[in-house]
Amino acid sequence: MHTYNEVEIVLVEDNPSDAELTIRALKKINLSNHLIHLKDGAEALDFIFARGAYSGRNINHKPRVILLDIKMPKVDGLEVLKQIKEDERTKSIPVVIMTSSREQNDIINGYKLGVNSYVVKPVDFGSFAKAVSDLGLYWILLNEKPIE
Amino acid sequence: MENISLEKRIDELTRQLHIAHQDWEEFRHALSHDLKAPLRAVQGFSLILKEDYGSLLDEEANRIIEVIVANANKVKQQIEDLVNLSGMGAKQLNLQDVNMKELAEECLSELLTDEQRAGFEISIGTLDKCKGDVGLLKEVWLQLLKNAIRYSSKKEKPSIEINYSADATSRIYSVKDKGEGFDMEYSHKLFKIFQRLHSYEEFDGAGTGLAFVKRIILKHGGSVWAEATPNKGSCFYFSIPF
Repeated sequence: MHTYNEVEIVLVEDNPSDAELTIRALKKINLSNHLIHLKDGAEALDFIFARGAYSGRNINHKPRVILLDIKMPKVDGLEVLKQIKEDERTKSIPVVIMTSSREQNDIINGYKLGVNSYVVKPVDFGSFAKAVSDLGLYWILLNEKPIE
Repeated sequence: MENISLEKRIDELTRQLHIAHQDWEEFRHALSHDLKAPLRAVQGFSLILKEDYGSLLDEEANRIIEVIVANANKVKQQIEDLVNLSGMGAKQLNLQDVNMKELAEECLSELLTDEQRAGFEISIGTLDKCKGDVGLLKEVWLQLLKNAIRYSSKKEKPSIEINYSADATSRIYSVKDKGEGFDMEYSHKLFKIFQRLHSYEEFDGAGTGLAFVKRIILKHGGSVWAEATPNKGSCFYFSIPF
């Protein structure tokens, strides 16, 4: 990743295999150039709020979408979502939860906290790759972002 | 004095039941959540290997990749079945009057085209209505009829008989075929999950259908059993209390 201010897709995923499969699917549709992969919730918060290792980043540069796993060590996905949506500076960034479980409580809490989309990762790799590229095409190419 | 100790005992049992239930929920969650990601990786990376390097590998290596993928798919299906089956206990029944004859007819027409049906001799007796959950009872009919059709597939004159009787406490429905049947010695395995009495080469199926049937009927307070003779056919019964 050359410069943090050019990031369009933030992938927050602690499972390295899922991350690799996700990035591969995005690469196939040429959407992996401006992607950063963060490995847990704490790192994600540092990046989004331009703190710690990412303190040089301009917080006003908003990514087009954050793809967020729920189950992660340290800070989990719902907590990351909560902090993004509670802060005026970051609340307009679209957040998509991508998780393995269809747990009703997680879905309800996700929407209550203001998630923009909630996607259950298909187990089947073909369907998974399709879901990821559909998401990428939608949020990067189809969706209009607010003027900053 | 006795009442107090009885109450204590009930409290203790309730507490233990509560713990068992929590363990169960945690187990279910792990099953549906944590096992999926590694499985996706096994299947996904095998397919990537094939996609990126398949042309460099010989036929046998490509076949081996197919075997890995097929087995990953099988585990995926089994996990889904286990999750569904284990969720059955917590399901609330939506009890209403169910027209069993109509329901059985509906299932037959979903399972067989008119053309396929012409090859079968099918008779449906007079089936009494019962009180049950129509969605779940439909699953029971679908499963029993699907089995009757599947295990008749190698017979020249396949037939399916759907019948009804009643005893003092229950209505009893049955599905009889003249198919492969099975040895009654193994009947205790019939309703257990992933147990099969025939090899995959002989007949397909995941070995989950009858386990579902049993759970559904138990939830209705009834029971399910079967009688069979190898090569002559089998008859599956289920009862629903009045």
